[in-house]
Amino acid sequence: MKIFSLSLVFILFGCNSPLDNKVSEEELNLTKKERLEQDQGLPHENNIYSFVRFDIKAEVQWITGPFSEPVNSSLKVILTDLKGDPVSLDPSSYELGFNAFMPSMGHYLDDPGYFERVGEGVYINPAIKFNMANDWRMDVVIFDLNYKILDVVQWLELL
Amino acid sequence: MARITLIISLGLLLFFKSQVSFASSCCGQSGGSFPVSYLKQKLSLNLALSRSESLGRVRSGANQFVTFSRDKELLKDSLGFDGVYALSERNQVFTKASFFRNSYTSSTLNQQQSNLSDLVLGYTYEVLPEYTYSKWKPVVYFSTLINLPTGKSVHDPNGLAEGADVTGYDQWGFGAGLTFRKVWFPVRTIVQIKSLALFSDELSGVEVSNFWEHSASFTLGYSFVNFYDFNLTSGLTWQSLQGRVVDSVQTQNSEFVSFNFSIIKPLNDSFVLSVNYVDQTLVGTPENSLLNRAFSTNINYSFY
Repeated sequence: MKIFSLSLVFILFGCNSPLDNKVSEEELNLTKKERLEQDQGLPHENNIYSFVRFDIKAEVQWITGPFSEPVNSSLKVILTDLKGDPVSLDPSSYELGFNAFMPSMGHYLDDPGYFERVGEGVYINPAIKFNMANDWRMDVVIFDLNYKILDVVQWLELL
Repeated sequence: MARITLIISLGLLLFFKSQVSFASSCCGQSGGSFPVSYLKQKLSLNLALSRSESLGRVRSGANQFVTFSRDKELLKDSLGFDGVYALSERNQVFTKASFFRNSYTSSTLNQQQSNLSDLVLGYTYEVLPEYTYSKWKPVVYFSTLINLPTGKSVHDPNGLAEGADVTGYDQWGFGAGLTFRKVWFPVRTIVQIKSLALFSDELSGVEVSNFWEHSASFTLGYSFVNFYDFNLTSGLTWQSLQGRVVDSVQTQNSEFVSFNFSIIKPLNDSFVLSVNYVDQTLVGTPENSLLNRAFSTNINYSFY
């Protein structure tokens, strides 16, 4: 019985424990918000990415969310040409899409939603659903009409 | 002597059957062990009722255990079954599966889903048999196992938040394991190691590569012959998922350690009852995984 008890004590107190480095989701969200505000300005404003094959830039802005649960997050994308003027994709040839992938665990989001053009160069996706809190790679994609990916811009976000 | 043998046998019996099936393979978790029968058991059947709660996750490289917010609750209730049948003195076959009812609750969502786990079939050969008594040599069993894709993977559609619905890999797999058992009455030790190769597949349009699940466990048990024949067992189980590539993206390895504690009570010559506690937040340096805590109750029937 002594051996059994000593082994139990050794196991519980002699090894590293995840509890030594515990942080709650609330604390993490607060830390993330503070860090981004201090270091980079507001994180979801003025995020501009360039497509490689198209001479188009995409300014992305979360309208609601992004939420880590499968409830609707809304993303606005403003496409501009190199001069900065708003430009829409030719709907007879191209379509704008969204996707997200969690590289660490290797799976996609719950629902990528769909973009609606609401003005010249302005697209809103009102129905993006994530399914997990973690690091996500966000993709805004230009498809052809057969959903072949022609170009993509990517960025990382922690939900 | 016969009574002592019976107590040892029944105590050992439930050790590997008392493990909880977390079955959350998106996040690096599944039932790590496999059942082995001991000491002339012809047939061993085991039912386990368990409740597992996910407490948070460890992000890859972040070295931080992020606990879920207070309004989130991830529960997995399961009814597990495993059985071992001795074909002859040194040959056994076994099977193992669980049925899960999973739920995710938060201030905005209340989701529930029921799914079967992956089904495991296996064969065990007693390499160093029971009757070759040695003061130091353990009894050794070699097992092979097949993983049948009957569970729900994280790639399947209509999932719950936080992967709460995941009950398996949903991929074919083949593996091998070794079990070492040594008794110095009233103390006993069991070591079990397993490697399972999961084979590449396309799941709902997502290309998942071959990858590995490895596990190793060490358990120490103590039998109270003079106190209602109670057995205590405790130990650690290490599990790891390695080498998974999804749509050409190399995912991070997952790793965690479970602390197990069981109280086992033989009811008569055939039935054994146990209560078990498993906690993944106490020991180790986990990586890229959900961490769970679970209680379970097992009832085992043996036929000699």
